[in-house]
Amino acid sequence: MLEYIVKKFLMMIPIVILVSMILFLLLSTLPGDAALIAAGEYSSDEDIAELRHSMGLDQPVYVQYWNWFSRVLRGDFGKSLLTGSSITERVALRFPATLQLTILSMIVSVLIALPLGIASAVYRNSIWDSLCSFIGVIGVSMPSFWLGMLFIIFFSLNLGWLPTSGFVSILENPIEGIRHLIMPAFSIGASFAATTMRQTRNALLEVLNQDYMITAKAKGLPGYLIIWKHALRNALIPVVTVVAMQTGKLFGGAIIAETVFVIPGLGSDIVNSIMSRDYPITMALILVVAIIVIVINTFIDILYGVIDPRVGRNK
Amino acid sequence: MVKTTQKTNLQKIITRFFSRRISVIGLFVFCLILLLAVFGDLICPYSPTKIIARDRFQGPNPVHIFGTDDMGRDTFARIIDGARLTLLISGGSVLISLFFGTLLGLLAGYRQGKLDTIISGLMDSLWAFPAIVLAMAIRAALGASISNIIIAIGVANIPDFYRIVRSRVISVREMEYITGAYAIGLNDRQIIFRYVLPNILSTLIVQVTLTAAKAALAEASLSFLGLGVPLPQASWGTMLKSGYALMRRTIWLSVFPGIFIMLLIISLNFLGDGLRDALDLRIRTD
Repeated sequence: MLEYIVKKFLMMIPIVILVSMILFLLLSTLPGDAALIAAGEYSSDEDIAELRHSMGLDQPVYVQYWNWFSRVLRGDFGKSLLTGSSITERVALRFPATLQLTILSMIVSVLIALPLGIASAVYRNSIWDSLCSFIGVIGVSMPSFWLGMLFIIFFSLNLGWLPTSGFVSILENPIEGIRHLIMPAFSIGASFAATTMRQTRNALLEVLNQDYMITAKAKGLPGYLIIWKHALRNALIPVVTVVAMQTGKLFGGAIIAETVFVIPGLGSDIVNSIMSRDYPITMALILVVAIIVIVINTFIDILYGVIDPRVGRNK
Repeated sequence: MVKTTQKTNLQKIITRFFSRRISVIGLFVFCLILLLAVFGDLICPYSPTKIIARDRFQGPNPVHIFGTDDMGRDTFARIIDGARLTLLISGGSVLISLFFGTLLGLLAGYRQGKLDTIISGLMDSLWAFPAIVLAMAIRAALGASISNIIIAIGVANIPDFYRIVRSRVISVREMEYITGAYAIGLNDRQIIFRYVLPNILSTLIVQVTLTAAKAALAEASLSFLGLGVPLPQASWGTMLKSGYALMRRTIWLSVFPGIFIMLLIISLNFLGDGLRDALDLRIRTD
């Protein structure tokens, strides 16, 4: 077991390195020299040449990569080309908003998905079932940013219930925090709820067909107890996995929602930094998001191995 | 003999496909959008780019059925124009993902060993990025143009095809008829084209529709973020972006392009589900 866990952890290393290489190759070899951007429009050619030298841009790509990556390993993402401020501080400053949004969206999606998924499995082929699959289809097909826009139009502009934009930390002011994050969380959560709901339904249906369910029924246990105690517990493992596996996509969804709702998180900053061509920031932010996804995926893999001993042992 | 069984197979698939309501709805809506893109000009007399200041900010009315935007341009005409762009980008990017994903998946799954380790490592690293983030990074590196958006979304979705092709190839490879093909002296290429590819074809067809839906969504998202189709061209995503900016003034610009994006994605997902059931014989009996 221990060997399996250690192996999974070690496998993260080459992937993180590859990810960082792909990012660096993509974003550091860009048209529009970083020195030009950093120096500003009105600098002389000598200034730019000097800046290029001091930024190490006249060195071969692999040297540049190593300079960058070795600093990243020490927790230093470098400086913004435009403002010269520390990127690490910037990431730390913006991380809480994205984290709170992602966690809240996950909670929202589970709160939508579980009851609907259970209802559609228990009352299979009923109107509940059709309603759930209808909601599922809409959830999957509706762009989250469009749903967010409709929320703003309806709840903020028409009814005036919720603020259109901005961020207040839930830890500092829970009520205001939720008032600001609830619409973005719903707009992201809806599409993930659809996937989770389908998984809940399928997992539950599979369990309901097992022999021990028939035994439970034969024993005369009441329906809710059968579902709650016997079925749901066993059906929950694949559901949890699906929820966890969607974390990466949730971060992707957060990027767009942050732009719609003007939330100062990592996602909206990725967009800003691409727009202003401040690529060291873009690289840092995307690398952080990718590493989070890699770590989460590794944990799911390990969890799988712990729950189901058949997985991955003979590899 | 072989031909007749193939024909009946095809007939069976078609019958199965049309016996499910969602497949028919999906096909119908998708064809409607396709027709709109191709023949839209015949039913809509307005130019998607002509600015008519006195017609600004109209709601839906008999003259402009979806209203007009902040420059007096007809929304319906722009939606037709956007349909072309959206279909082009989503179709083009799927071709890229399909080609490279299948090629790499075949190589890794068929050859296995070291090559498999290398390609899989690369694909796992691409997989670590949320697809939309990867597309953003590639688009940032390449610059703004329609072909660059197609490439960005196409590359970001390569792992979709890679994963399923590789796993299917690995299972097909163990089949007895492959061993038989080796035994009669066929080389790798012949085996891949004659036996392996036909066996994963149905999987690929289904994945094409699902990835096309994903690509359409990615295009809309990129355009909405301002990293998509350059102005003044209209894609549904860029239209929503301007709808967002003008949200306080009019809601119609936010409503109609969104409905069309949703219809396209629903139709592709339905089509994919219907095809999966029709092709895969994995019909649920419950």
